[in-house]
Amino acid sequence: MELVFSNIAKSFKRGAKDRVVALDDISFSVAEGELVCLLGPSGCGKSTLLKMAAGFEFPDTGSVTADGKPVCKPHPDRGMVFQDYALFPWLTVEENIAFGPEMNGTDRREIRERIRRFITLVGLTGFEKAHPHQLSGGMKQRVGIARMLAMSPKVLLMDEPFGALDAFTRMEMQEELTNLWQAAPFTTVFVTHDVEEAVYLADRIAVMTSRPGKLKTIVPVPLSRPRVRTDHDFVQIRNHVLKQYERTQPSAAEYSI
Amino acid sequence: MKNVFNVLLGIFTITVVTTGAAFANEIRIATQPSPFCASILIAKHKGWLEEELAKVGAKPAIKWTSFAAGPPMNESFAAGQQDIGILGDTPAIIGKAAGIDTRIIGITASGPRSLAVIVPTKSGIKSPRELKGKKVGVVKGSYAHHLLVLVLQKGGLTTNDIELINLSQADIATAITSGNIDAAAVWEPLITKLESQGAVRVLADGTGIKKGVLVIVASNDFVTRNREQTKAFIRAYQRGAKFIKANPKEAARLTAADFNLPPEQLVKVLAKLDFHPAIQADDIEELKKSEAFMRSASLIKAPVSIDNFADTRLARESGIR
Amino acid sequence: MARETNPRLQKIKHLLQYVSLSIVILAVWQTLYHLGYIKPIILPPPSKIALTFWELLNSGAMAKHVGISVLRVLEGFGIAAVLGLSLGIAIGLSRTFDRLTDLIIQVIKPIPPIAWIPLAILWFGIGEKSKVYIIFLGAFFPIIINTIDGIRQTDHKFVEVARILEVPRFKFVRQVVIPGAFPAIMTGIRVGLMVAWMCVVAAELIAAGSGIGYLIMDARQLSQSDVVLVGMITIGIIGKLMDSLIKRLEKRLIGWKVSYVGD
Repeated sequence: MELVFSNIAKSFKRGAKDRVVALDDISFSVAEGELVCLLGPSGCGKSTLLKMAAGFEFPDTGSVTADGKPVCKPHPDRGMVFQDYALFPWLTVEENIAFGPEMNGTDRREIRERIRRFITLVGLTGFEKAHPHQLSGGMKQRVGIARMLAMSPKVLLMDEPFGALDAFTRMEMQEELTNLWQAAPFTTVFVTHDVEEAVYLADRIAVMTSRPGKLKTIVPVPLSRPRVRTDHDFVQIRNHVLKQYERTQPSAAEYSI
Repeated sequence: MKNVFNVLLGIFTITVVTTGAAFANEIRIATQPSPFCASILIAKHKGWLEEELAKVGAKPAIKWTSFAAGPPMNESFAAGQQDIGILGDTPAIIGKAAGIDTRIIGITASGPRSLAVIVPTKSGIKSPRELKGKKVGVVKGSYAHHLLVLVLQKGGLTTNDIELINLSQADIATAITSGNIDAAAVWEPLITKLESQGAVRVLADGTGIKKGVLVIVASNDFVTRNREQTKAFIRAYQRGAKFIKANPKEAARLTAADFNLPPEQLVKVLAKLDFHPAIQADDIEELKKSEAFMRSASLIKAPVSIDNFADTRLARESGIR
Repeated sequence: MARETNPRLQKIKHLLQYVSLSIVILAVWQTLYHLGYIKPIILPPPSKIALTFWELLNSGAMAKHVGISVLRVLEGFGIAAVLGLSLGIAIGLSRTFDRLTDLIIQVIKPIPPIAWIPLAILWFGIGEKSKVYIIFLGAFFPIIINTIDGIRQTDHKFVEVARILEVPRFKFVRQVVIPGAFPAIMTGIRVGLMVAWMCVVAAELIAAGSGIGYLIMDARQLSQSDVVLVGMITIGIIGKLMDSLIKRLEKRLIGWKVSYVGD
C-alpha cells in the first residue's frame, strides 16, 4: 500500500484565543513495501500524523491517501501497534491474535491456521495459552504485532511500539522486527524518538522538529540489513541525523555557574 | 507531655465515674406512656414527690425518662442509668434473671382488664381456640406476652400453634388496622384507643387468668444509698393512688396529655386499674406464677426468687397499707 | 529480625500473627470478668458466649436462623444483581440514559436501607417481601455504581483496536467492554453482597419470626446479652465466609487482573 501525506496542517485551540500549530504543511510519501520512520521529539506531531493515517484524526487542511483513496476511517488494512500493547487481558495469546479474524466471521479452520502461522512468526510458540499478564513486555508486543498481522494488513502503523521496553529488550525487538520485515516486506510507518532505533530500522527517516511540527528533512538509510550499530556507516548516518537537531543559535540561558 | 496525659486521665476518670452513677443529689425515674403510670405522674404534677422528699430532708434533682416498653427500660437499668422504674411484672423478672441488680419496692397497679388479646372488629375469631395458625403480634417479653400464652392455653393451644410476631405497640396498631396480623396481645392505652376507633374488639382479657400486676423497681444501689428517699417516693406514690381513686375525672384531666388520650377515654382506662403500692400476698402469688411461666417458656434461664426480689419490708417501713 | 527462610516455620509464624491478637483480647476479657470488673449483663464473658453458642448450635436453632437469613440475603442480593447489572450496563453505554437516571440514583443512594422500613411495611406488608426489599436496596447501589464505572473506564485503546479491526458495535460491547469491566463489576458484587448481609439485621426488624437478626432483637427484648453477642459474632463469621467465597470466585473469573498485595 502506498501512503501519501499532502500538505497536512493541523492546529489546536489553547485557551480562549490561542491556537497552537501542531503540524505545519507536512508532505511526504511512503512507498509500497517501504519502512519509514517518523522521528522527532515529543510534541512534534509524529503520533498525530500516524493517527491520521489510521483514520482516527483528520487534518485541518491537506489529505492522507492510501493507494490513492483518502483515509476516512480505521480499517484492518491499516493495522496499528501501540506503545502500551492494548492487549485484551482476559484473552489468551492465541485468543488475542484470533480476535480480529473471529469478529469478521472468518471460519474456524482458517483462524487456527493463521494463529499457528503468526505465533511461529513472532516467536511465541509454547505461549499460546498464556495470558498477557504472564508475559514480558517484549512478548506482549509480539502479540500486539501478530494480532494486527493476522488481518493481513497492507500497512503497519507502529506508534513507539518499543518505548515501554528496557534498552536490551528494545534492541532485541528491533532485530526481530527486521527479521520479520525482511521475510516479507510490508509497508510500515514507525514512530519513534530514538535516533538509533530509526537508523537501525528505516529505509528512510522523516526528521521532524517541534513547535511548530515541521518536516525538516528526509534522511535515506541505504544500508543493507541486518544492520550493525557499531558499523562506521551506521554511525555516520546517525551523526548526520543528530546534526539535524543541533541548535543553530545558542539559546539564551546556556551557561550557569 | 506529662501534663496533657494527666489532664486526659482526669477527664477519662471523671467520665467513667459519672456515667452510670447518679450524683448523690439526683433521682432518675423511668416511666412508660401508659395509664398505669398515672399515679406517679399525678404526684409529679402536684409536686408531692418533692414534698415527701423534703420531709426527709432531701432535695434531689428529679430526672424523668419515658420508655416505650419494659425491655428498653431494662437496658437502661442494666447500664446503670435509672434508679426507679415502672414496668410490667414480666419484663421486671426477665431483667432480674438477666442479672440486673434491682428489687421490687412496690406495686404500680394491677388490672386484669388493662391487658387483653384483641382482634379486628370484623374478625371471625370468636374464641381462643380459633387463634390456631393465625398471626398474632405482641411485644415479646412483656406481660401481655404472658397473657397471650394463658389465653392460648384456654383454647388448648401453645405458641407453637400460632405465628407469634414480635412487634412494638406502635407497629401493632398499624398492623392490626391494616389487616397484616390477625390478633395481638396489648396493654392500655392501646386497647381503649383502638376500640374507640371501632377497629378492634377484645377477645379475652386478664379477668380470671392474669391479674396484670405492674411493679415499681429500684436499683439496689440506689436503695442502699438512699433508703429514706426511696420510702419518700413510695409515700408520694400512694398519695397519687389515693387521688386517682377519689377524683378519677380530675386525675384523667391532669394526665391526659401524658398518655395522648382524651380525658373521657382515660377515665374509662383508669377505672380498670387498681393503684396500690403495698405489696400484698396475692401480688406475690401472681409474681410467682409469672416467674414460673417465664421459666417454662424459656424466657428466662435462671430462676428468680420472688421472695428475695420483692422487698416487702421497705413498703411496710414507708408506712403504707 | 531475620527473614524466616524455612517455609514451614514461616507458615506457623504467619498463623500465629493471625490469631494472637484475638486470643489476647479474649484472655483479658475473661480475666476481667473473673476479677469482677465487668458485669455479665453489660458484657458476658467469652466462656458464657461460647456456652450459649454451643447450646444454640446443638439445638439446631442456629442452623435454622442462619439458613433463613442467608436465604433472604441471597434473594435480595440476586434481584439486586440482575437489576444492578442490566441497568448499570445500559447506563454505562448510553450517555442519554445516564443523564436521565443520574439525579434519581444520586438522590436515593444516600438513603440508608433502614430508613425505608416504614414504607417497605406499607408497600409489602410484614412478610418476606418487605425484608427482601430492604436487603435488595442495600446491595443494589454498590452493584450499579461499580458496573457503570467499569463500563465507563473501558480503555480508550480498546476502542481504537476495535475500530481498526472493524468489530461490530454489539460484539464490541459483549466481547470487549463487558469483559473489560469485569474487575469493577466484581468489586460491586462483593461490596453488594457484604452490604446485603449487613442489612439483614435491619430487614429482620420488620416483624421477623426467624433469622439471625431476629435472634438478636429477640434476645434484646429478653435482656439476653450473651445471645446478642453470639448473634453478632455469627453475623461476622458468616460475612467473612461469604467474602472469602466471592474472592475465590473473583480469582477464577478475573485471575488476569494483577493486583497489589501488601508486603
